Amino acid sequence: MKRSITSRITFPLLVAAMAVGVGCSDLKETPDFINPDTFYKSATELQLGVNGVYDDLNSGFSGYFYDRYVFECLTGDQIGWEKGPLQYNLGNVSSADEYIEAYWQISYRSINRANAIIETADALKDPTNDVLIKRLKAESQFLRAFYYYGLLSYFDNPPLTIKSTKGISELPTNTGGKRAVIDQIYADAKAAADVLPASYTGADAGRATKWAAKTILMKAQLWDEKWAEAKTTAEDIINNSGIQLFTDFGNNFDVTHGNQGERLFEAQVSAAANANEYSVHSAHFNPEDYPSDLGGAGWSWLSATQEFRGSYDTKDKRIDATFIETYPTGRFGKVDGQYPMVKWSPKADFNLSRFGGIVKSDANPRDPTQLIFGKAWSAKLVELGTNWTNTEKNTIYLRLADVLLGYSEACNESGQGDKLLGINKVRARAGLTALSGLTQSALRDAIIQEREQEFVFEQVMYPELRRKSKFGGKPDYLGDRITNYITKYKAGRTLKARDYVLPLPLKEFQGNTSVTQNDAWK
Amino acid sequence: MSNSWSYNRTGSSSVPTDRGGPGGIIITALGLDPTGPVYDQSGSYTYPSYDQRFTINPLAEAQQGYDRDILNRLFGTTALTVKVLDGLKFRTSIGADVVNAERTTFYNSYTYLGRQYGRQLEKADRNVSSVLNENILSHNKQVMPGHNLDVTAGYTYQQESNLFNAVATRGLPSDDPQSVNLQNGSKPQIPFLGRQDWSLQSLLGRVNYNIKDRYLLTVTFRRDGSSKFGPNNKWATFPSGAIGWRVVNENFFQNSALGKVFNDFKFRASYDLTGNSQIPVYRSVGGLVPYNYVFGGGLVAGYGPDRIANPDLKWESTAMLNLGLDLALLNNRLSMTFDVFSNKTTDLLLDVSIPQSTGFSTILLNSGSLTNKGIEFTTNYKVINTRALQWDVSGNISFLRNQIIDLGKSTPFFANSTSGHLGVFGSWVEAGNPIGVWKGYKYVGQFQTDDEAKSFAARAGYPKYEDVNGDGKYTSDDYQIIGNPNPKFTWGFNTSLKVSHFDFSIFVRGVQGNQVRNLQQSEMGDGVQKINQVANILTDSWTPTNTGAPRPIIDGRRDFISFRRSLFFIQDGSFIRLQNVVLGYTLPLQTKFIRTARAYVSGQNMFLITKYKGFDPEVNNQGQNNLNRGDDYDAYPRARMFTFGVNLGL
Repeated sequence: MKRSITSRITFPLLVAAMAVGVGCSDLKETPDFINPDTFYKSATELQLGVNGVYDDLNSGFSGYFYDRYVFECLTGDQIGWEKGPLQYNLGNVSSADEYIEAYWQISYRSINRANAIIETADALKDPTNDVLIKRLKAESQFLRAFYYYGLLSYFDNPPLTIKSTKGISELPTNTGGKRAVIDQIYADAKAAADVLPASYTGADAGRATKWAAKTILMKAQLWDEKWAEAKTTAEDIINNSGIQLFTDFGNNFDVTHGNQGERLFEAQVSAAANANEYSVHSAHFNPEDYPSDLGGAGWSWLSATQEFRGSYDTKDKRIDATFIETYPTGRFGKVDGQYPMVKWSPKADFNLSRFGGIVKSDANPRDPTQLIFGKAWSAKLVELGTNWTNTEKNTIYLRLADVLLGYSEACNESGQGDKLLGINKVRARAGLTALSGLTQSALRDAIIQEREQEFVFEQVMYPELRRKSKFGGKPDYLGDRITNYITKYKAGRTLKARDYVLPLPLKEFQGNTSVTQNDAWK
Repeated sequence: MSNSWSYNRTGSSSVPTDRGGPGGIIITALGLDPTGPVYDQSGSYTYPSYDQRFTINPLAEAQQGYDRDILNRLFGTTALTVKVLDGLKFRTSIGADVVNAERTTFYNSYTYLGRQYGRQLEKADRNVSSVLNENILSHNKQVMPGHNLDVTAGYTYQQESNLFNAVATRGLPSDDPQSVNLQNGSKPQIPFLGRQDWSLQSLLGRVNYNIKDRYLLTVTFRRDGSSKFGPNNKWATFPSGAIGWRVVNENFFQNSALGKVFNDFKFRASYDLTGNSQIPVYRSVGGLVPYNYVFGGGLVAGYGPDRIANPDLKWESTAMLNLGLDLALLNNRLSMTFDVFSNKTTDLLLDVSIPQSTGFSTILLNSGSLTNKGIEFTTNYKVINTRALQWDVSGNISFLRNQIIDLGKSTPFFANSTSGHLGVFGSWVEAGNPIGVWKGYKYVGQFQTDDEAKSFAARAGYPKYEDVNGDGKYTSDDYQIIGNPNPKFTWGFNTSLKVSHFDFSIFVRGVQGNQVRNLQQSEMGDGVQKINQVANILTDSWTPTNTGAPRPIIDGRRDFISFRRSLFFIQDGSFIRLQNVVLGYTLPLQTKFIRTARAYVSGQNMFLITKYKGFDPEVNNQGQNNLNRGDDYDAYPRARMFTFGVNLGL
């Protein structure tokens, strides 16, 4: 369509056109997001920044906790039949590994957020909110210590930086090695413990406490083999926090006891608060054959071995909260209007494959003796009966049992104090007999075993085992577990020095000349 | 004074086909047990399990999914041309393009999402307004006889503003899309609002000098400013120059024997510097974006930095050298064009992969360079050109090679994965390679004995890959380049015939030497998952008695990620396609109201010749993504289209 209009209209139109051209000629951008340089004016904004440092504690499908699960599979006690879990079961790790890269990325992303908040807190002028600012800074220091501990415990020599990233001309270095990282954890954890409150109420429940900070301090001291200091720190928590073990072990993992009692630090999960804040654990850890229409549908493939479940004393009160002992299976569809219930049994067929530990497809669904399974599914992590996108269970990172076992270890290694106090408290709660009269090395073994049974599925055992082990040395708890896995399941894997520490990611030392790879991986 | 304005209103309805792993219609329709019923005895949808991962009925997805888009668009240009002096013209114009699109999506309780979330209603709106103002002064003058000078100078300004918003709610009471509103949902989701504005200014100048239609010279100069770059680098200058020598008009040529053969004979050479600002907005500045968390059982807002700012961000530039030859002979019945070009792009706008101890994985930098080199040839031959009969034949062929010369500060990296569910990587980006190559295990057959397979944690019949470092294990150290989606050459062939009132044309085109990653088959033909498999899986898979089979053993215990990352699924994507056939008849009809009338039938995508084993090798799961091409996954098969139509000229 073409037609002319009168010049009376045209002229103003053209003037307007030219005006647009001249008027906006500075080419300046006004972005639709917040400017970090002008945002932080008071404690109110600082708090928003600190909340962002917590966020990765509960993160997505290749998230912080899930990557730890993959690493845990190196021990062979927890298994998976595909992707990362399988490759780690087989000892197939490399520096280009996507799980290492993801974990590294998440850790440093959070450390960078913490660094920026600490710098901002130091520069902030908001005298009326001085107390809050100090607390927020201390929360960030705790989180920085927490994430560095998470790096130390897998990689030994992660690069260290306490400055927020402004560009790429200056990159972090690991020339200070393990020492520099541990010292930084000490400094941050101590500073945080001095300021943080012992607990929170209401809307702040879930923030880092003084006792969480002291727990990280103790764990770093154990890593550093500073037994006397670790003993003092553990003692302080045990005597002064007023925190006791729950009578019921299961309270550690349920929804109602979130952020209470012995649960010292955990990732906050609540799909009810917001649909994005669910956790992926039910999707990963639900039994493979759990019926989709009961809400179990997911990508479930992860469990512990039948042998691991079988290693528990049958009286152990932790079993019910640790493992799924019975559940409805979808393998036969509905029988007489209901999904048949299957029960865990040490006699059920078991192998490492996908269907190698669930009820046999040719079992008679009306015969309870045939409705048995062998995989050790995790009850700690899943919420059966809830759609995996509606999950509410928090993810535990630190709890008092860790401190009690740490106390026993510190006493045992230093030869000071009541070395059986901690471990026997943990055993008493589990309904197990108290230990007595053990030699130093027998107690060392007992603590390791207690840790395994107390903490399975909490993704801490690979670091704990390797901390107390040496390739070809004695003791070699990690080597023993791996060798057991290799022999038991005839895995095509050979124990090697590289099983004892993870490599720094390839991208890091490709792009950063100030970083050197761990010796075992050179 | 000229005006050209138009207004469009378009409505469309679609169903989501390309959702990938969790719930795509194509992939689940292919993967579900083909013997299972679609409906149960009472006529309701059944929801079979897909590999025990989720339940879905793809027909319900297609029938019950509601996705309507309404788009209003007003666009056009008003221009005023003023003759200032003899040979001096000034043209100023203002153009606008205003788009408003509204999309409503509803997943009722028969769909996968709807069952998961108690139904879901989404509303998404998009508003775009773009204004373009051009002011061009042009001068044309004969300097002396045979010498023509053409000078143009101008200033253009473009500004675009985009507004997006999206809201969604779950927990709705009804399955009828017409009866539910956002306020009916009991679980409103966090809404989204975004604004993206950019502007572009250019100063241009061009000089054309033509001597006796023999020597042609063009010099251009442009200075472009884009809002997208850093404060100090918004402006850049891009000159270019071209020369042409029309040999055919030289006396010596006319007088020679060649003069009788050629109607046109022209050499061309040009060297251009051009700029690229095709990046998302606001990328030179860093911001704080939401990273929400939960305290005390309630959602709290959290913020963290999204990127490292790069105030030095600047234009990417490409230097293009082009040499060409235009020929025409046989009374202009045969024409040919040859072109050879070599382009080098520097200051690549690249999301550079950086050490993650910085807290970030990438930063947008001007980093690295790549080359594109190629040869193109097109020809047209008017075989018969009479009033009663016209027959034209034309064809083209082009060869293009690209290579990443260097990545600057970037470490080599895998582009974003096409599917996290499959666990495959995106393409491998490293200097020395073409763009888009795949890296993975080189499949070399199967292990024939358990013993041979042992150190690889495999068994007889399991896939065997080249163990590059010879350590007896398969890790990422054994990856190598296994495929390339770039074709060796592409070609087209066109012919048209007009006989009296009939016209007939045919267009065939082909792509040769490219590879396609058949990810669809990596899901459907892995012999591991509990889903429907490709038809020949039983005869093509390794068994102790069929040791020469092309596929590995069918075994649920086998790891399939490594297999998916292997050469096995990379296939030859060469094809020849009959793109278009048209037969028309012009009616001998001329009335006061109708100038011309033509009826036609046409067919598109009439046949495809290819060795590719998927639906269609011309596929791209990632759309226009340069880094990931040739991935076939959950793609809707290309339609064969027949059209019958009438053209009327009024």
